[in-house]
Amino acid sequence: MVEPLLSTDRLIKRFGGLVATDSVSIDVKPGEIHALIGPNGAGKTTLVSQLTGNLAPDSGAIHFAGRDVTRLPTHARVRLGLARSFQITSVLREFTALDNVALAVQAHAGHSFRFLADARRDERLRGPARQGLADVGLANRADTPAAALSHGEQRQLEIAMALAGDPRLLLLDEPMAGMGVEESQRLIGFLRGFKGRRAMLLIEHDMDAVFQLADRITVLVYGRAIASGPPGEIRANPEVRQAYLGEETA
Amino acid sequence: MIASLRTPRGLATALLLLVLAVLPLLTQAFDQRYLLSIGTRIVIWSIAAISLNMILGYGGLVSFGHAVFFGIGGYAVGILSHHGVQSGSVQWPVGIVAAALWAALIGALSLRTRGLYFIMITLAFAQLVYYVSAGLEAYGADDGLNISRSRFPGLIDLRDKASFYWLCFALLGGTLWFCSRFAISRFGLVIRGAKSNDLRMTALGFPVFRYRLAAFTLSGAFGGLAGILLANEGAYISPAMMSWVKSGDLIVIVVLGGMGTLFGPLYGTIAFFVLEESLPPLLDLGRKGWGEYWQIVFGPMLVLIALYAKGGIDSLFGRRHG
Repeated sequence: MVEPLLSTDRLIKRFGGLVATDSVSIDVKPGEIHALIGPNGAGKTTLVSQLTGNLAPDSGAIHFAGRDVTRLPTHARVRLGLARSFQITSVLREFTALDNVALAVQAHAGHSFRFLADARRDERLRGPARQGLADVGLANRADTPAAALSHGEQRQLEIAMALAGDPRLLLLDEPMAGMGVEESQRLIGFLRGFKGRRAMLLIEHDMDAVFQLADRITVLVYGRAIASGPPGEIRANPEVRQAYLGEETA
Repeated sequence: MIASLRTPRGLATALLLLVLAVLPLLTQAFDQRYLLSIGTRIVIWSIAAISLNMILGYGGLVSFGHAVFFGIGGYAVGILSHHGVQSGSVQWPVGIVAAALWAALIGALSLRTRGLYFIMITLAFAQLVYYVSAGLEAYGADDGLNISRSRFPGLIDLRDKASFYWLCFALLGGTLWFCSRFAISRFGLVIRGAKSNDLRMTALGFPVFRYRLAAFTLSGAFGGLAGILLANEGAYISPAMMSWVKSGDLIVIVVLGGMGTLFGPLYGTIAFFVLEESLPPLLDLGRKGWGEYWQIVFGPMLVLIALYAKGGIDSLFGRRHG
C-alpha cells in the first residue's frame, strides 16, 4: 500500500443550508492521475479551494506530503509542492509570458527580499523559465505580453507556471475549459507525458480527456463522492451513469 | 545611458536633471532666491512622491495617508531640536526609523484589507497622528513650532540655501537610483506582480502580505526622509505638514506624473508646483481676483489627464516597455 501524497479525511464545508462538500475523503497517490468529475454544482471548485487553502473546511482534515495542512495558508502549501492552475485563466496579464514563468520559478528560489539586482537578467530564473515555456510549446511567444496570448496559449502558460516549481502534485482545475479540440488534444498529449511521474488531481468536464488521462476517477454529486475507481469501472457504474454520464450523453 | 539620450523621454529627463543639478547657480545668476526655495520643495516632494509611487504605482495600493510620514519625519527633527538635540546624525536616523516603524504598524493592519477599506484605514491612521500632533501643546499644538535646522558639524551647513538644496538633490538622486533598482529586482517584481494579480501570486507560492508590508515600510522610511528635509527647509513643523490634503496632493502628483514609472513622480511634482505657482497670476491677468479660484482650472485639468492620458505625463513620451 503506497502512502497517498494527498488525502482528505471527511471534509465538510457548508454555505448556509447548502452542504457543498459532504464528508469527502479522497486521495491521490504519488505519480497517479486522479480525475474528479461531477455535474455543475457538484462542489468540485469548493473542494479544490479547500485543497489550495483559499477556503477553510468546517470540519475534516487535509494531509499533504505527510503533513496536516488543513490550516496552512495557500503560499505555504505551494512551498510544499502543491501547485495549481485556475478554472478561469489567471496569469499576470501585464507581464510577458517569460516573466510569468520566471516569477513562478522565483517563487521557489528562496525569499525575494532582494532589492537591487535585475531579476530579468538573472539566468537562474530566466533559464528554467525559458525551458518551461518550451516544454508547453510557447518558446516563440516568450516576449509576448500574457494579455496578448490566445486563450489556449494562456492556459498553456498557466500549466508552465504551475510546473515551474517542480511540484509534487499538480491541481488542474478544468485545464481544457474553453479550448478548441486541437488545443485540447495537444494538452492531453502533454499531460500524458507526465503519466506515472507526476501526481495530478484533474478536475475536468471534458470526458474524453478524463478517460484518456485518468488512472482513477472520483465522481462528485451534490457534494458527495458517490463512486471512485478506475475509468472502466466508473464507466460501467450504473449509479454514475444515471447521476452524471447519463445526463451528459442524453 | 548614451542610447537612452536619443529617445525624447531620455533627453527630456536628462535636461531636467541637469537643470535641477545646477539650479542654485541659475537662481543666483538671475537673482531669483525665491525660485530656489520652490526648487528645494520640488526636490523634497519628489522624494515623497517617489516613495508613494513604490506602493501606489508599482504596488497598486492606494495609500491615502502618505503625508503622515512628512509629519513623523518632521516632528522627529522638531521635537529633538526642541529638547536641544541638534545633531542631524541623531535626528535623521530617528526620523527615518520612526517613520518606518509607523509604516510597518499601519501596513500590518491596513494591508489585510482591500480597495476602499484600505484607503479609509490609511487615511484614518494619518488623521490620528494629525490630531495627536495638533494636541501637543508642548510643541505648539495647531500653530506648530519654529525649529533650528539640523546640524552636521564639519560636514555641511544646512542654513546655506544652496548647500541644503544640493543635499536634497543628492538624496533625490539616491532615491531615484534605489527606485530604479527596486522596480526590476526580485522584490519589485513580486510587488508589481501582486498589483497585476495577487491571487495568482499567492498561488505561485508568494506570501504576498509579507512583501507588501516590507514595501509599505520602505516607502514610509523614504517618506520620513522627505519629512525631515521639509522640516529643515522651512525651519518649521506643524500638523499642516500631514493634513489629508497633502496626502491627496501626493496621490495627484503620482497619478499626474505617471504611476509605476521611475521619473513620473518627478514630472508630476514639477507640473504640480508649476501650475500651483503660475495659474493664480495667469488667471489674475484675465481679471483681478480670479487667481484665487485657480483650482477651478486645475481640477478639470486633472480630470482630463485621468481620462485621456492614463499613463500621466510620462506617457506623453510614448509607451515604455518593461
